[in-house]
Amino acid sequence: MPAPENMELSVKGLIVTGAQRRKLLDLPCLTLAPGQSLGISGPSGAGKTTLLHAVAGLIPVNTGAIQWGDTDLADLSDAGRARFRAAHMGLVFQTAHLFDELSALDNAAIAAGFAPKHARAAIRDRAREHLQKLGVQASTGRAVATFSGGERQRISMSRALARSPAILLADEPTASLDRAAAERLGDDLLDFSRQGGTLIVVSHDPSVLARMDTVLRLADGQVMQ
Amino acid sequence: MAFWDGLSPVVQDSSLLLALLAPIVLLGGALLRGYAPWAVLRALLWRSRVAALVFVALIAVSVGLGVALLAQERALRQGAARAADGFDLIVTAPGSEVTMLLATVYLQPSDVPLLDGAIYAEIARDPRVTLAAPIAFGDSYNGAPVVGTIAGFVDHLSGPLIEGRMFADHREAVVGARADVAMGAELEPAHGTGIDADAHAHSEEHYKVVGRMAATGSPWDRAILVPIEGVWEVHGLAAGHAEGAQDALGPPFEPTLFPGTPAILVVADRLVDNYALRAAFTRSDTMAFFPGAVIAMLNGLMGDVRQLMSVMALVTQTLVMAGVIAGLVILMRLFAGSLALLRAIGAPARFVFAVVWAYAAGLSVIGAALGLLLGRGAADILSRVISARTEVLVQANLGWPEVHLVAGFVTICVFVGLVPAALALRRIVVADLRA
Ligand SMILES: Nc1ncnc2c1ncn2[C@@H]1O[C@H](COP(=O)(O)OP(=O)(O)O)[C@@H](O)[C@H]1O
Ligand SMILES: [Mg+2]
Repeated sequence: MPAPENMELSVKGLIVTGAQRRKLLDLPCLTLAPGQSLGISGPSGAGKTTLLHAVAGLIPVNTGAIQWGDTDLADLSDAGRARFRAAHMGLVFQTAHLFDELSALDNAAIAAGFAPKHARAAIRDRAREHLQKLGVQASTGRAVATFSGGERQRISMSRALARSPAILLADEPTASLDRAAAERLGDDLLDFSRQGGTLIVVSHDPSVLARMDTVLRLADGQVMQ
Repeated sequence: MAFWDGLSPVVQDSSLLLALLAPIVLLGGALLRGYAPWAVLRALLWRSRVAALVFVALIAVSVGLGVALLAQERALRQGAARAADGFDLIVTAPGSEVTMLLATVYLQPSDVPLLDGAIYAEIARDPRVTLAAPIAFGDSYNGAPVVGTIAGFVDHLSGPLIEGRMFADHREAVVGARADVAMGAELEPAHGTGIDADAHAHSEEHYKVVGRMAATGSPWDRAILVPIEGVWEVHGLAAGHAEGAQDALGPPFEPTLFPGTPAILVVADRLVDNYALRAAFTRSDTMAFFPGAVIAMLNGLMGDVRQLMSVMALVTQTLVMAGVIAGLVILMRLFAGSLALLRAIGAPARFVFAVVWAYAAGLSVIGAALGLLLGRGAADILSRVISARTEVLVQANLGWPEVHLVAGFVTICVFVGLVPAALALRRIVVADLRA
């Protein structure tokens, strides 16, 4: 279950520049209360993934501030941001980057490898729990290479949830899924939000976006109104 | 240093091994402490299994080569020295010590001048001498050397016979442990040796095999030893004994009826006497030498070759290692997505570093361990081939030098494994995530 922390997101004057000083993202202000859900939409190349990476602390922020509760990401070192992600965030990336050679459970519990010894069993237990809840066969030791796109997204989701994060960031989680599978994953995301988690979902899917508390539309790195 | 010198060789060798391996354990412990990277490692190994197998094979072959060369070279030296055991001091006509050594100890055919009866008598009479044995090589049977000598030499070389009894007649023979003739067989010796041997030279003369010597690990194991009187008679010469005692066997010989012998083995009880005898018989008409000393000298000459071999083995291994590291760096691309994912979900840099390092170190350790076995096997096969070719028993065993070489190599590999680990950390996480 999400920890009852004050994990309010507060972004101010964020500017992300890419190669040749090209402005990839310009976000003057964004706040998201704990337990709230935010949908991000926009055409391809709009900067949605960049925004997600920024709030996850995966790209260095030169201009502006990103705060999660009392924590300013700019104050943290690389290692500090990694610790922050490990402690508070679940991430579902556009490309799942599953270990094709490992089982669904080993993938979902991959964080156990670098978690403190006393926390490992709990991570595996919750990974198994989420896989079951999301309808992925966790009992078989079968490598995930042959799993369907929908199953892979669910494993990726279980991996994100195995450490009971307060924040879930998902990048186009339903992109490669058929209607029914997308529907189910949308339910799973909403479940997380209903249980008090702070949720940010990048999506083109109107049915997913419709279920979010707020939707932010991006185009060309700018917020559209 | 005095403390170190005071330790037993085994303690010294194992301490050196521990010192060589300690960095691996310390490094591994420091990097992996608190982590359980086994699932990730298993996945990466399986993903790169073909490359990993090639790396392991490359390391194994290069390590095996070095190990085999080192072990074989040492075995060869030991075998050569062991074959010369019992040949304390050799007296021959003046000439090349190496030629005489090869002819007498290793029974390599060669035409050499003879020592006469007066010289033999002088040696045999010397109070310091406990055994003066003529060694008359030059004949052969089916390619095996037929050597004329005396019973005392057979005793000296073999100790108790493993089969039958000592020759008691000019026409009896005692054969080496591995000689290809049966007990009771009748042999017709040929004059000379090898393909030039004249098989019908002594057509009327036969020896009967009555005994078999214990193994000595030298070419003598294939030799046929007969009374020297028999050799002389077969060549139509006087038989060493005065009229009326022609059937006598062994010393003393009648100097005037002693047709000659190419070499005399001299055994003295005391070491100082050996040196004195060598001095006494180093003169214009005789040459005296210690086979052990000649072998040591040859080994000394070979020392440079040995060093060159070691350097070449090291160069080979270094090249292979460089290739493997280059390969690993390229392989990192195959792992980039997975490693980026790990870092994105909050894995500490040390974890990712440790995974890549453990991958490289694991391949090195497995390759080196296989190389040790491979080298052992190769040295075994080489030993058999050399033993069969030279009749000198060569037994290669893994020794401390090989173990130290491999341990040193592994330690170097394990440190070089830090390079791909560091490079993996320098990649940009978000770029690899998008790929
Ligand atoms: N690593 C990268 N390589 C190339 N282009 C990048 C990279 N990161 C960001 N960009 C650029 O940044 C802009 C925003 O990209 P992105 O955030 O991925 O958009 P979206 O997720 O909305 O499709 C694009 O113009 C993209 O080309
Ligand atoms: Mg994107």
